[in-house]
Amino acid sequence: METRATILVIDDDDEIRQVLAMVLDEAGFRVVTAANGREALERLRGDPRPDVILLDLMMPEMDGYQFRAEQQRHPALRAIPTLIVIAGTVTPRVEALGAEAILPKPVSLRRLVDTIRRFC
Amino acid sequence: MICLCSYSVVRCPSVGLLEVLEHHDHAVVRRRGTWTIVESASVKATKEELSRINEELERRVQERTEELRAALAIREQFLSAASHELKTPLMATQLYIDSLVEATEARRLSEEERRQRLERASASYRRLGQLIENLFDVSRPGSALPSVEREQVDLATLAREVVERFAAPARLAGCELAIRADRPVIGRWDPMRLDQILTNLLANALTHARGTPIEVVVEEHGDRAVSTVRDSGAGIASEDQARVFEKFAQVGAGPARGGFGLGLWIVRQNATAMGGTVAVESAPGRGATFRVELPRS
Repeated sequence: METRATILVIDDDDEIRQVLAMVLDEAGFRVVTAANGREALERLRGDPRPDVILLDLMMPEMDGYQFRAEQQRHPALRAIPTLIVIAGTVTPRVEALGAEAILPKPVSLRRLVDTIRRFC
Repeated sequence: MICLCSYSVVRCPSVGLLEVLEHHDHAVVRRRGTWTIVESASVKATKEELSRINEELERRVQERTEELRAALAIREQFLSAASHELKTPLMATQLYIDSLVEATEARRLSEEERRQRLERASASYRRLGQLIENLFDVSRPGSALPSVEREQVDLATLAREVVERFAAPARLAGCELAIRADRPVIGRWDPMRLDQILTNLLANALTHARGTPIEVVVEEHGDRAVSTVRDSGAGIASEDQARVFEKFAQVGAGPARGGFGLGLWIVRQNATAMGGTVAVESAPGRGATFRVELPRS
């Protein structure tokens, strides 16, 4: 019986996906990944719903802004706590995304894990 | 005769009105019972010229404003892309190191696992270094070519080193990376610039040709050295091929393809600075081959 909380990591960078999967797995989470917003939406249709979404903003095909708009259109997906990992400054456009938390890059492992634990 | 100014006027015989004397600029005349100010031909011409100049100025100001607006937009895009690009390997490095610290405290990892994680942290760190190197290149004023410090270099050995460095990133991108550089290719070049050329070409291939094989070939063709990096990715449409070497060029679908759009521009700058050329051969769906030719002396 799987009791670990599931995190969906959405990031186009292979290395970031890999390192996040590794450290979050070690911190006791189950991790699934997607390389862009479109892939993430496909995963959300099929797999069991994740407990938390960790979202990058700058991605090809479907970026974080577009993903967030799609997510908020679906009532079931809207409820999933979403944490945005951001490289630049927090602009009004980013704030308007209404994420549960905004984590500036580079985020420390402790802060990342503590923030995720607040939502699952 | 009534005149409101001190100008002298004469009666115009044809229409029975007052005519302006040529050497005066204005006169007040009565036409059909109404007094009006009349301009001389030279004032009219000057005014027309002024209005032409004004229009021209207006047009130029508008053009400049558009240019500035475009430059500002590029600058903003660039800053946000730069921030994203630099912080990505920075974050990876931080997470590797944090995880090493935690695992060491908890005495969790084996020697081999620790070594692997350190290697990854080091690779991320190197990626960060390459990005910073590229940023320094773009901040050189105007279109100035990079300085070249020539020494005797074996391009084949150098290419093998670069390819080795890309082993881990290539695995992550699902690319099979091969090199054919069996014989030494000796010339007088700047090893740092050569390294940057091959590094940027490989980084470009990994970004745009994920999951496909990539081959690097280094050969000697008479007095020239020819390096090619061939991928089997999506390829580049012919109308975009010239543009890929431009500064901040981002060819392809989607808002962010990774990178600053500087890598290939730097390749061309470096090749040009060493008296060489770079060209691309590609067709949509057929991958891309980048070919750098450098004179050996």
